[in-house]
Amino acid sequence: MNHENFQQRISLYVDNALSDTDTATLFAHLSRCAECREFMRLTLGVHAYIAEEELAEVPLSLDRRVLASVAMASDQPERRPWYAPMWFTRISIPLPAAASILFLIIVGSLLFSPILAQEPQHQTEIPASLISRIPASLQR
Amino acid sequence: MEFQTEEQLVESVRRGDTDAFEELYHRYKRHIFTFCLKLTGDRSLAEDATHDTFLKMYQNVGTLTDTSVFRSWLFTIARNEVFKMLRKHHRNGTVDAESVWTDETPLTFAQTNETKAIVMACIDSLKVEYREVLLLREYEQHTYEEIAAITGSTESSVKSRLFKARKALAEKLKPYFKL
Repeated sequence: MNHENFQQRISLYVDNALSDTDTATLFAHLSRCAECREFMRLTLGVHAYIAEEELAEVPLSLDRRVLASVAMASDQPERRPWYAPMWFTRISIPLPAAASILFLIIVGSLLFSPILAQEPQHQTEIPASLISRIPASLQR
Repeated sequence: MEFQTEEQLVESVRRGDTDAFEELYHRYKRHIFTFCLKLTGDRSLAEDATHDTFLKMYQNVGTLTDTSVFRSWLFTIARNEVFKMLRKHHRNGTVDAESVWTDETPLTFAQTNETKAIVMACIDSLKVEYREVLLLREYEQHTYEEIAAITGSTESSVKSRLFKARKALAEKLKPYFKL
């Protein structure tokens, strides 16, 4: 195994991602390799420095800008594309109005229903040739 | 407002609660701003990227199916915003995405004689793809799995890039920290 392989293990070790067996092998190598020890020292040093490093302060102007943009975004009604079909539209009608509309639809459909419409009954005319065949006693 | 967990806050933001958004914003603003600042090397770009990140978060939080991965998801948005901005400025010729910070060599910072400044300057002079994984791992303590999700790569690729970043950093630091 070359130095690069051990240095890859050092990178994993710094991240607590190295198994116990591999850690033991790594430290055995470190005890006799100055180059890898140097890499370990610098990598752990960077790790320690970053742990002390504070996060950057956010300017107040950015706070205001972000919160204003989000307030604006939340005020805007949901935009529907021009091609959105009618049936995706939510319609809100008060209950009494909805009940009245339903009542009118039912009454209207009954008024114009063929079941209730009084249609004159058509009397079928019996041809004279057939009447003449009926016995005279039955004709009135 | 009583303390709410991150998942509760995310759920509230999904329902359009702007107070919950504000709480989440204050929890993450310094993390996201530092990440953007370290990646871009420019305060103004970092502010724009942070602004766009949080606005996108608010607008798209409804698409987040698993609220437990919110943190990684937020960093993914931030990363995409930073790279979008760097590409845009690269086209305009103002910032070079590959060589951000490289103007500030370790030598300029060495004159300050501050060890910490040297370390930070060396990190800032790394290639952006190395700096990105190093920031996510060292500053934010993201797991390999989370970094892979944020950067759109695999865990083994993250391990490899982290190693290369540390190797490149060690090479830069060697002249200043010789035993």
